[in-house]
Amino acid sequence: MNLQQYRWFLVGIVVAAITGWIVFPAALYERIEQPLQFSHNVHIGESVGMSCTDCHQMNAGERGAAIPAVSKCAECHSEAIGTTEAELKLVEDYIKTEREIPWLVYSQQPQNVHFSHIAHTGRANIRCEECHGPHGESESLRPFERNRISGYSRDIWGSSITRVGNAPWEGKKMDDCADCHTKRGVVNSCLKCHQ
Amino acid sequence: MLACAVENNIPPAHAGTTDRTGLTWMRVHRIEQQGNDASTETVYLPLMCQQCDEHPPCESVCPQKAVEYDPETGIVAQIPVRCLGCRYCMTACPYHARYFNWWDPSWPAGMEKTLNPGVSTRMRGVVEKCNLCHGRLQEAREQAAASGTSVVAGETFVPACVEACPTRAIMIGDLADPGSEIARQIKTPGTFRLLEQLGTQPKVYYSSARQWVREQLQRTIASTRTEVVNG
Amino acid sequence: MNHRISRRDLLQFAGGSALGLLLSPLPWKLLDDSAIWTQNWPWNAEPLRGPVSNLLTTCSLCPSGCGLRFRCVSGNPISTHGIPEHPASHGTLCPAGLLAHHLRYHPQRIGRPVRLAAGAPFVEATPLTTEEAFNAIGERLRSSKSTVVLDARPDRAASEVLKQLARTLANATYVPEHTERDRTIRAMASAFDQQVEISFDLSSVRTILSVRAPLIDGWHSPDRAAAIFDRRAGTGSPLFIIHVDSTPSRTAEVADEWVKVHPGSEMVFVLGIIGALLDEGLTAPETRQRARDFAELRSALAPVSREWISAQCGMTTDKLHVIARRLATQGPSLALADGQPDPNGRSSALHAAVACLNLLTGSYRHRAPVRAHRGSNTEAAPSLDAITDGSVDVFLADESISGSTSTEHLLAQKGSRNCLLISLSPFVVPHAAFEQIVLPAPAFGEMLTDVPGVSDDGRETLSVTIPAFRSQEGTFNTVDLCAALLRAVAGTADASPSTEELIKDRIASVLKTGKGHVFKSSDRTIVPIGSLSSSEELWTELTAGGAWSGDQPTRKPTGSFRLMRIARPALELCEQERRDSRSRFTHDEQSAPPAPVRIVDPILQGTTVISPLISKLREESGLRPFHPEAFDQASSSPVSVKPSKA
Repeated sequence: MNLQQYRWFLVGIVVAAITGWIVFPAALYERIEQPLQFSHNVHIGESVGMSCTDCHQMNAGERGAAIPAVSKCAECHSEAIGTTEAELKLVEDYIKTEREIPWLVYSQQPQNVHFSHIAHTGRANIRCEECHGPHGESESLRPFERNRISGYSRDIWGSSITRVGNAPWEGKKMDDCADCHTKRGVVNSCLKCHQ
Repeated sequence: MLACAVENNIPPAHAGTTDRTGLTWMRVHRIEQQGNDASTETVYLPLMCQQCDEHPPCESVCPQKAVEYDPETGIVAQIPVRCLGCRYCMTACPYHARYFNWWDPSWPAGMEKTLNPGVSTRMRGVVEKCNLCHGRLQEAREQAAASGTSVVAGETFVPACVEACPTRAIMIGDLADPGSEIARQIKTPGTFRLLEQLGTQPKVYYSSARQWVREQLQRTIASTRTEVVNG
Repeated sequence: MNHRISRRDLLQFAGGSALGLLLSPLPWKLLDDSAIWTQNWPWNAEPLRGPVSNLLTTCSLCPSGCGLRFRCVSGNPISTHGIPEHPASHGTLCPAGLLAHHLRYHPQRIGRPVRLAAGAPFVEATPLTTEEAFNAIGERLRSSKSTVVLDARPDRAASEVLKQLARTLANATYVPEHTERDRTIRAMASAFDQQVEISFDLSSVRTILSVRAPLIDGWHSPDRAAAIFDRRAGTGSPLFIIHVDSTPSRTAEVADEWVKVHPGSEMVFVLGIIGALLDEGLTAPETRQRARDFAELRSALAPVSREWISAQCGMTTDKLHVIARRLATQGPSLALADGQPDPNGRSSALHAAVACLNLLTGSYRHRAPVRAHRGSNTEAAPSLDAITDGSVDVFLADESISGSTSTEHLLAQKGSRNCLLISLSPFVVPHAAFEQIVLPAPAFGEMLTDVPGVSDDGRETLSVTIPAFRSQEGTFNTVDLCAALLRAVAGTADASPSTEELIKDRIASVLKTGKGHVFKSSDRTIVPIGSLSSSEELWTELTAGGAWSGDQPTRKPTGSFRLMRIARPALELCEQERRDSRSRFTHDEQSAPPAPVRIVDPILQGTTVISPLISKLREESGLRPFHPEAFDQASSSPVSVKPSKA
């Protein structure tokens, strides 16, 4: 076997490997900044001392995301408290005009999924960090990495393209949910999660 | 019928829809008494997925496993995203309770803001059917979870058809609970199920005080077949 | 190295890439993502996401005033539900109410004024700017010799503003539209020598003679229809329904007896019953005393041959007598009629005949179903029937609450050749006979209005509809319209109170009477009005799905009445038909044109355009009307607006 003879074959493999392992994962996602910057850390920190559920209210009948409406922000920020650019933008562009902030939700699930926060935080007593990681202590909101083909966030698949080496809270595909259910002995039937 | 359509995001008709191509998860049929008496009676029969027990005919024929019988609730689940639209289940269903999306759902401008987020929307090419307002059951479960219990109180789960009927002709309940109102109701004389001889064990029971209604709805063609066999 | 790249090199490259790609995540991830992509076509609408909230209000699509709860996601109503234990509805909603949240987005909704040319219903609608519309309207109003201000939903607080408008404009009259239920009542009231107000009490009636009245499919809220249904099935006080109709409607199916008459002969049928009562001497003794012209009625009806009557109706004279006997002996009995639609203008004569029948069966006996009490209305507003044919130059129809009017054929009769119809409505509903200018009103869900009504046992009721949305720019409610019209005609307009102020005034006066009870939706209790301390409190309750109902009317002496006052039009029409030698019913029944069948579900008196979902479900199930060629407003959109509405 002469490597020279099959050099183009090897070139092909190398090119494909680079495309598949490096170019593709980078090109697959487009980074979109959140409409507004927000520091979780400041809000749970000593000076403010809020907890997750002060803003993220999980009520019966509401599917999935418990992202608060702008009226929640307005409870404290009807006038600017601090001096950051983000806060000024919040007050001027959203609170004063009564517009909802178009947040890009990292864990957004498709419409046919019924996810109930209460069943998980209430009955199963799962802490927020177990599924959402250190997000609640973040200084700023990372950009939303949108999968150009499916439209969902990179968080659903996980940051690793092979799903090897993902942090325990990463990955919100159906199999991830089903795995955890199986581990905890919860019966998996279709209608449990689908609607 | 309307309450079901509102709850389940049924779109207004595509032009050219007929009673065979439409989506009516709950369908009310008009049954007239056979006979030529001037005072024939009429009754109305609400027909939806009969939620067959254990081995529903539609489950075993699905190549995609888009239909699943849930032993916990007894509901036969139809997952539209898995369905590839072969319509084998429609053929298998003896009650004709399954409907096919011949077209993509289309709404007048703005009316899509009235869609119910608790029920998934379906695209063209998938089969759909009544799922006993499972979205409302999930909400009832959440309410129970919010108050710290895992038992769903009977009054919190009311399917759309039961809620809407002004004469309270439709009733929902837990068949497995022998002390429930519905368990008592199904034992009253005059209560029957449709096509019981097929062995589908449906969980929907019908009750009528009128003899002709019971006879007409439980007719079989067995007698005809015997006649043919006997020449 | 050879610089030329050969085919083999390319093939090698291709093979290498294929192997490399297969060993990379690319194809596998692409498969997964493409599958998801195929499930999310962008042209398929998705529901909104967001917090769920409830808004309690009252449905105003018909005068019944059922309690209504909007279930909202991010503030957008996605479904409607009843309010349990609400006195008007007990948690039920009719098909129009169930889809009330769709009306805002109905394809026939307009956002700016449009003009429709006169002629066939399939016309082009030309959009106008508000200025153009009001200029045109102002001109016509100034030159009009006879203007009729038609209130499709009278007795509202805002109706006062319409009355005021009619007083201010030159040559204008205020005319309230009445439901079919009201028309018979008003006919009866007009027979009395003094001003009376009459109410029906269905709960104490034992026999109902329903002449085409859709008792269980649209006459009332579904709750009351269900109550009738229940009584038929044996719960509650006994009830026997005789339903007179030429086609097997749903009420005919449920009725104890369906009397099939030739289409169009209903009025003659009622006269036949009256005749039978007179012949057998079964009229109430009280009536014979109180009616000042009883003998006159007898002699007016005597020459009308009973055989002719039964031939017109298509039944034997015996049958008429059997029914008459039942009404007289199995009382208390009540006759109800629905005259719509009646292209031959017999509807008011039918109501007159029915009113006369009710008076004759003697509904004044102690514990009678029809109670009369001294009225509080000092102005007796004219009815549309009383206006001279062909005399009206401009109709100004306030259809803002109901969406459309139920008196189309009457409008056609009363309008002059170049009549202009100005409709205030959220929808374009063409009235074929006239040139029309439609001014956009807020749709259901965007308007504030009060819902006055009368319950089954004669109590006055009041509730309030509050909006779930702000109304769109460029729409007019009743008060705005009157102000704008006065400006257009006279250049200026006095400031008039807003709708909210008018309703609050009305609520304050209700509180002052100290009568009646209030249903509170918060805890589903009914409390006497005295327990509410201020009109703000009453406003709070009524704007959150609550309802006020007054005391039961007390029976007061009514004095004498004249039967001929109301019977005359019916008798004249009957005489006309007799003289007309071309009998409509001698030929084969098959070739007689069927009476136009109304849409049976939902049919609420003079109600709005309905959601296209309702007509879709009707088409797809077996529950179609019996004559498919019946006019269907919602499933065919006869009007195209170009350019598309703003």
